Amino acid sequence: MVYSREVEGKLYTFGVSGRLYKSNVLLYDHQTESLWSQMMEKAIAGPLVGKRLKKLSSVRTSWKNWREKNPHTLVLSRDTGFKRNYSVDPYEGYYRSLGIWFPVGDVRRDLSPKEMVLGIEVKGKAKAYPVSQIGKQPGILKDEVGGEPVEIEVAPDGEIVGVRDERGEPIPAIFSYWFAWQAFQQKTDVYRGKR
Amino acid sequence: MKRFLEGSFLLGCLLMLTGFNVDNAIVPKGEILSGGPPKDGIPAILKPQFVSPKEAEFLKPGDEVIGVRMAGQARAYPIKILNWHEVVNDTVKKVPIVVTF
Repeated sequence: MVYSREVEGKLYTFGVSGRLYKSNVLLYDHQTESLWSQMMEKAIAGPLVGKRLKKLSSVRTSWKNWREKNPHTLVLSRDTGFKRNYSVDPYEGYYRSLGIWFPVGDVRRDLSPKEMVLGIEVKGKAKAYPVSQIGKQPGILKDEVGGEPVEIEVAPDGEIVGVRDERGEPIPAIFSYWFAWQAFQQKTDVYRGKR
Repeated sequence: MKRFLEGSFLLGCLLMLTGFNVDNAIVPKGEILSGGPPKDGIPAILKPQFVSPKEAEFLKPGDEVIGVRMAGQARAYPIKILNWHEVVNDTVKKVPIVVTF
């Protein structure tokens, strides 16, 4: 996920708080030590409580795919100032997203808890698209969220490469485990496929 | 003096335990849990450096990246690196961004 570091005209830098809310790692800002929830997209405690994070458009994709589409891209260097072995996955293959560390409360049984979903929220209405299901149908999936048209582009290899409105503007969307999405979007709809 | 020192020590311990002031939290305080590494136990990147695709030989074609485009500039943040840091504070074409994983 990508957010603006500017909140109401002021710049902040963020770190990892070590605190969790609903299994989500909370960020904190170094300037005020407020705690920020990525899923709620706002500060949930501290001097900036209630202030919102502005989500910016980003994609998660393979290096091959990104490089083909963006030949002049820059790449974050391993020269981070920290000594880490970046060829090793510290989570040993455990698939994780959005800093989810352990499961939360009762989980709605619409899908299995660890099913990956593409989550979209438009005008206060949320909808979850099972990634395994929509990945089987390459092309443009046309649907509606919150009464607004939504287009999801699925590449021939099943990768979800874009979520847009009818004017072609990107709509922020996130990949998440079902259990985490439904914890934050308790009234979420679930995409069931075209009849 | 001894009592003052003891008091300071206790207060210090308390601050270390809690770390963040959550008095005004808008979610139930009991649900803000400590878990995993402590504050900054996973170090965020504050001064990201970048290389060209040719120099990024550590990436395999199938490795995942988070990709961002701002005003014509594209940047890729490898999951391999984000796994160890979770947060990158960056500025792309004057747009201040934070990339999280």
